[in-house]
Amino acid sequence: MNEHLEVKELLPLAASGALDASERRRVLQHLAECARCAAEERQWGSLASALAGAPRSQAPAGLAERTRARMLAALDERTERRWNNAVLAGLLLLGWSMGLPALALLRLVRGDLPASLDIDAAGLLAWLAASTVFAWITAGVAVLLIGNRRETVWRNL
Amino acid sequence: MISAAIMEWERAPAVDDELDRARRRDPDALTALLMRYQHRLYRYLVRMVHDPAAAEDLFQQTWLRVIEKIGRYDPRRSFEAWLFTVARNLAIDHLRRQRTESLDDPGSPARPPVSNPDALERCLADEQVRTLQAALAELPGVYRETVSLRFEQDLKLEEIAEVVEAPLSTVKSRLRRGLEALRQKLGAGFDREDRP
Ligand SMILES: [Zn+2]
Repeated sequence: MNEHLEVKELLPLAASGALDASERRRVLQHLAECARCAAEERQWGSLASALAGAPRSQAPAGLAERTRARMLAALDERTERRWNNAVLAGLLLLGWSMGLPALALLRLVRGDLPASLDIDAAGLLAWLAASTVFAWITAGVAVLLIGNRRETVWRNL
Repeated sequence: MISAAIMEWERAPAVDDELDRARRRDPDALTALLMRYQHRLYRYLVRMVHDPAAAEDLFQQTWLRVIEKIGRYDPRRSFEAWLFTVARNLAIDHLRRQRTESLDDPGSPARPPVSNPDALERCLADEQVRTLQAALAELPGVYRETVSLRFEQDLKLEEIAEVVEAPLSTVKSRLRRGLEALRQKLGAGFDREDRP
């Protein structure tokens, strides 16, 4: 009797293909000798096949296409965001590197540049010139990126 | 271990390659995944939120979330389970905002499907199918979800456990109770039709 009740509990899972091998064996064994459970098993089986065979609703036409468009726009934005972050990091680096020659220049003017830093005035000027050129290039790239970003925003409106 | 080996064997190399490319956010690979899973994902979301318009919105949000998070997807695990988990979290947030029902509370009855049923269902003449759909829609959230994932989305029990973040034993008991509740709702009418 206990076996009957326990197997009866397993029947809906058996119909769902959710039993492990040993449970399945146990159910089959009991079904062979219990007519009531065998009838019950047929009922669960017909419910399961009705569920599995029920017509399935489809995604509305155009949903995938709309989603794809949003997905691609989001990918673009993502790429752009990463570029912007890179530029920002570059600008930070630039600011930091320009601070150093300015500090050195200040000390040079005040005449207390440490001997260990042995930088002559010509070297310092060259450094300043290079930094200025780099700053102009970075600013140009930033302007281009910002312009491109505005274009993307317009396209997505 | 054996089942893992079988899963690996079952998964075609082409799909693996596609998932690899999707993880690198390749637009073509992501589009292929979107196309492949669109119907199952939409069906699941409608089943969860009972509202086609909200399901469409959640569908789009799911794929936007996929783009953000796909780098963190572990390719050794089932992509379907991962995708449905992303969708589920968004659906739960939506339901929380709505406060109409809680998925974690088996006692709360689901709203019957409102608004317009989709075209396919509308055209259905088969009374039994309609009865079954209505009964399924009335199941409490946790049961409805598990039954739907098993029979409408064809997920394996292990995958369902992953999606709903519950142990396998819980999934089994939800499935059993869901089917029992379903049969009770359908009553003798459903049984009779299947008797020889
Ligand atoms: Zn029995």
